[in-house]
Amino acid sequence: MANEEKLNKINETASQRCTAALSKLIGAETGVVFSQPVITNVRKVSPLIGSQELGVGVFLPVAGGVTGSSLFLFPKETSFHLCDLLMKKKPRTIKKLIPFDEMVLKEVGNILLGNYLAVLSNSLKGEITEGMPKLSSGMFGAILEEVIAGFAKDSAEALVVRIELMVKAMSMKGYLLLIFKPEEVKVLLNAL
Amino acid sequence: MPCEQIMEIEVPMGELVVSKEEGNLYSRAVGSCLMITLYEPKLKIGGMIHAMLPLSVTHDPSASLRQPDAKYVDTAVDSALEKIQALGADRKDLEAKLVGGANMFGLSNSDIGKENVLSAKKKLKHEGIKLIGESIGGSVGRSVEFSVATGIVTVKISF
Repeated sequence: MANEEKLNKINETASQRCTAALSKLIGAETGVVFSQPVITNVRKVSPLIGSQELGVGVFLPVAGGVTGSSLFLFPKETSFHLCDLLMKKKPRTIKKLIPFDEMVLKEVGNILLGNYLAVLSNSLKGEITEGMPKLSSGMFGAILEEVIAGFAKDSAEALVVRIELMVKAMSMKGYLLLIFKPEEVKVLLNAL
Repeated sequence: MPCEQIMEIEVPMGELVVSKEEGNLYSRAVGSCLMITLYEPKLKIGGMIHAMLPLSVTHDPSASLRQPDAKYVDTAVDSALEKIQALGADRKDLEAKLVGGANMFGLSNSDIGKENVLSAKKKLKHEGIKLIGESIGGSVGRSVEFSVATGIVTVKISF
């Protein structure tokens, strides 16, 4: 099976799991779609996703079967929409994130990244564990730098996946990134 | 009167650019990476480094042999000095500025940004280069532009 086909299959299963989990959290029918997977060198990620867009990133370190980092990255406006939804507020109420909002977004990131990693973990038949979520806001490129820097010496590769959340006729887009050392990407793809 | 176009040159992660008399060197969305500008004001020779990690030795002993780019602060400064001196500058006339080195996720056990800054300060001191300005640290992203014609470094901070 070609890599793209394997990754599409992972995306499909992860979409189902995340849809169920996020619907439960939000308390409304929610759609989560992972699409357009791309594997690229970590230094090419920033130009790929647009470094200057303002957004929020939820970062989870990855350990166990493979060592790496995972990041859920989404535009600033999406962070406000998600907080409105989760706090049962009217649309466009939140204009600035407070620490409680950040906690809520960390939970969303934890659910999305955790479920995606769980699907990979099942495919690897080995345990992938994730660390505590951390949140940052600012330009996409600036958020990415810190996650990428730890892997810069190895010319590591990133799996970049587009993510779309659909809740109450609203569509919110972002990215899911998984960064691993090159040899681990091979292990991962071979195991799928 | 026709307006003269200023050459805009991006300095991507892990790279460095050196120019004489002309050009605006820039990088958008700098987080934990460190931008180091080196400038010789009389000859208007300037260089900008976009380093990702503090030391080549700590992270990879063979890095300086097989990585000709500006991934590491220490080896990047060496490469920049070589290029700047090749254009006629004397290192005692150089002035340095630092931008970036943020800790975007507020990680307490790993602050690459701070390590980048400390490494740069140590290296510049060792090389006898004056550090005359900085916009560093915090948990903010920065955009930086360096005019080689004037030596002015403009920093925009985004929250």
